[in-house]
Amino acid sequence: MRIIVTELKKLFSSKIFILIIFSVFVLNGYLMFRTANSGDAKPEQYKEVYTVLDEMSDYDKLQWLDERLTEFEGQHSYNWIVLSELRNECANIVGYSDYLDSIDAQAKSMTSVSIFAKPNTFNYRSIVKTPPAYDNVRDVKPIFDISKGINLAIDNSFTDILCGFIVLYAVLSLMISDREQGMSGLLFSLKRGRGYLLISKLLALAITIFSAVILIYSENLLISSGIIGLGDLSRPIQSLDGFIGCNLKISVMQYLMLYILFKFIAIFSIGTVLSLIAVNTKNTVSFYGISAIILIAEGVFYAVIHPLSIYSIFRYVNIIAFTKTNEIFCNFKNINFFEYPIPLIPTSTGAMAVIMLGSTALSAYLYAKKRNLEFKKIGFKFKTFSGNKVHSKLYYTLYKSLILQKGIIVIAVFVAVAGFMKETFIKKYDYVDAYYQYYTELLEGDITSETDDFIAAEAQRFDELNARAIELMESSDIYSTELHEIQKQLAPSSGFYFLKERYEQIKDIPNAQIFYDTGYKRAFGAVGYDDDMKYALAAMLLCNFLISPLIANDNKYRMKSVINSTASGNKSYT
Amino acid sequence: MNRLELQKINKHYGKKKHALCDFSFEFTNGIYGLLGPNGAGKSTLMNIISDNLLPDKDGGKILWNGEETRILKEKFRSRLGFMPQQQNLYESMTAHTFLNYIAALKCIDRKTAEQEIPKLFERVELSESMDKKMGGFSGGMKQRVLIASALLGNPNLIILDEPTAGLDPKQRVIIRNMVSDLGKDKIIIISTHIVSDIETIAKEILFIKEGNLIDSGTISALVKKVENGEKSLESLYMQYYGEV
Ligand SMILES: Nc1ncnc2c1ncn2[C@@H]1O[C@H](COP(=O)(O)OP(=O)(O)OP(=O)(O)O)[C@@H](O)[C@H]1O
Ligand SMILES: [Mg+2]
Repeated sequence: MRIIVTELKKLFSSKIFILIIFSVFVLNGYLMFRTANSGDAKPEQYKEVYTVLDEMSDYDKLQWLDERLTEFEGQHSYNWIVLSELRNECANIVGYSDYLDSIDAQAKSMTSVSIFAKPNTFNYRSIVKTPPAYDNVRDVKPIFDISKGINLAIDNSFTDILCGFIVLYAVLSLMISDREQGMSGLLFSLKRGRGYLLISKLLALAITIFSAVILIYSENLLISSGIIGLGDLSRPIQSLDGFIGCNLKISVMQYLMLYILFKFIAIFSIGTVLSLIAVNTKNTVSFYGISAIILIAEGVFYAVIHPLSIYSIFRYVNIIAFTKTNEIFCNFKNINFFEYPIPLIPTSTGAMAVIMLGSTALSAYLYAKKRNLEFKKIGFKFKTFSGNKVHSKLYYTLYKSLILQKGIIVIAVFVAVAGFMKETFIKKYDYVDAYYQYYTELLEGDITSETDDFIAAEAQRFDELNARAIELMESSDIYSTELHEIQKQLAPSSGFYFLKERYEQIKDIPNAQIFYDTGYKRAFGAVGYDDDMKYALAAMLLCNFLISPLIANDNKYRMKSVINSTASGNKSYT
Repeated sequence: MNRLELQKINKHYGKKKHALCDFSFEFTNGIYGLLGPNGAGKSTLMNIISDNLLPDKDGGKILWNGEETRILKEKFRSRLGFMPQQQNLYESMTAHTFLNYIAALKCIDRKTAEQEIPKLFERVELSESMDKKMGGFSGGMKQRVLIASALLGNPNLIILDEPTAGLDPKQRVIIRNMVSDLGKDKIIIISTHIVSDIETIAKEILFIKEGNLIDSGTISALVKKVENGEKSLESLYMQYYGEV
């Protein structure tokens, strides 16, 4: 216990660490506000609708929303996106039992229709296992309430990325700084200076990560509840938008606790893996290099492997995937394990436990066996300066901090990670953009009466399709082929509505033209690009914090080696 | 009576550097001075004893009271007080916190530690500074903190690697007196390349040169070997290591 406390004191006595924590919280708060206010629908517009809906029954709410949507042409007091989003949510909730029935129906048709019924396939086995998985939620009655707030708080990737910086610094500080500071000789000679010390350090890491996760998600929830509201926390989790397929019988409050616990374990697993690397590397280059390779590889597996492919095990049993808590719980999922379906939740939980305990045990074992663990900053010799060339002071500063201090690697890694995150982030919206582009190019040029006609006709067509789809859904025919067909036809509407809005903004302006303005996001200032740049910027900023201690230490180290070499004329132990 | 036996210890760094060659010696209670110039292999030897470095494969054995330290592991380390040559400290920690931390890692319970630590600070004359951050300490103060940490828990084997390096004469005397007061019931090994640090307090001196134990014995026995000049340890040192 005393060891853990001292390790924590050591960690928190670093001003840089405090600075990182502080920046993470500020940045996270800022990004929360930005995300909430980005896009077309503003939090106040949601609130406005919720206030109206407040006292109604869920069925009345659905009706009210439908009415507002059908008469939308005429009045503009509500935001169309808000209305349609809430309508969909509400329809899901009202149709919850239909949804469950549809799962059964689908399973039945899959197993009875001979073309699907290939009993030796993953799909078949998985579909058979699915309906029983929902048995315990059959009596659940979802309630329609504000989802947006909770989703804002727990469904963003920046919070996790920002947490990552805390973890990275904590691992560096706990696992490496002793060695870097030349303390390992003393510590190793102590009775508990090996395996026991390492486990204490990992516990200190766990405490740090746990507190960080609790604090940062409390921050998120507080901000969310301030901006939009969290709704009734005792309602079943299935009430939350996106969680209709969740097969756990818990309330939103319970889910939040589960979420935080799971998130902590997931991030801590990453922490133990990084610690294992830290224990076994002798210099900064290999630590960053190996960590980056592992994280990027896992990230690529996660992004590239299809959820249903036979390799899906690499997608789900994956330290990056573990942090995607919502994806694990929002639906009953099976992993394709050599054509056998294994349920995702227990698999993820088990895999995390194995990774966590495995890396902990392995690091402790290796740490106890290690001798001679001093940590080296790879030394590009100053000889590279020879030739009597005089460079500017900036050159030396950059050379020292980027090449010698390996800061360049840190920067490269995080730029790569940021770039990668951006890739996946943008992809999500690409199909909307594609439809938007299709429509803008179709109507390119001046706005004529033809344009007006086309837009009116197309709007009407989508409205009709929508109405028919609703009808079908309400008649509990969710998996009918007709509905499927309609949904296919409705897909371009996402891009069309953006075009229509654009059109309404500009139609009365003389000589206005329609053209594809590199994406609806640019046109509407929706989420995406802008925020991603902020990420990258934030990442760079934090990199600097991370590098500066390395520089400081390195300087110390260099000074020390100079002193050593003059006073005793030998190399320091490596 | 404690007994530390080194049996034919060999250590290579890489292929070429033979830092210790068949080093054998038996230590019993008392103070031993390990003398040798820079690069002689003193730290290598001390690191091997303190389990910070492994000897070569088949590079000899270390026995603590007849048992191999490699097998004793924690049991041996719990009897050990080590002060490494790289004398670094946590700059932002107070000396008191530091010793508490070391005490915890030495598995000394809180109560005992609370009683022992202030006494130790008194002994190394640091009582006044024990609640200050160590970043502001002078070299001599840091070394004394490290000596105190080596003494913590009353170990039976104390290894001090150049405890006086870089200190002024007054500090050297303080440390020398402290070491000589440590008691006769334990093995104390001090390495140095400064003869005066140990000549008055050591029971036996070991001369080490390029990884070999070239001579050892009590001071009175060793001085007799001086061939010309004053019969002192200093002359013998010069005789063995030349004028460098
Ligand atoms: N990690 C290492 N890698 C290669 N050679 C080493 C290493 N550590 C020490 N040596 C070499 O082994 C020899 C013995 O070194 P050691 O540090 O034991 O000497 P020492 O007697 O403690 O010297 P000093 O008085 O300078 O501390 C030296 O020649 C040194 O250069
Ligand atoms: Mg030495």
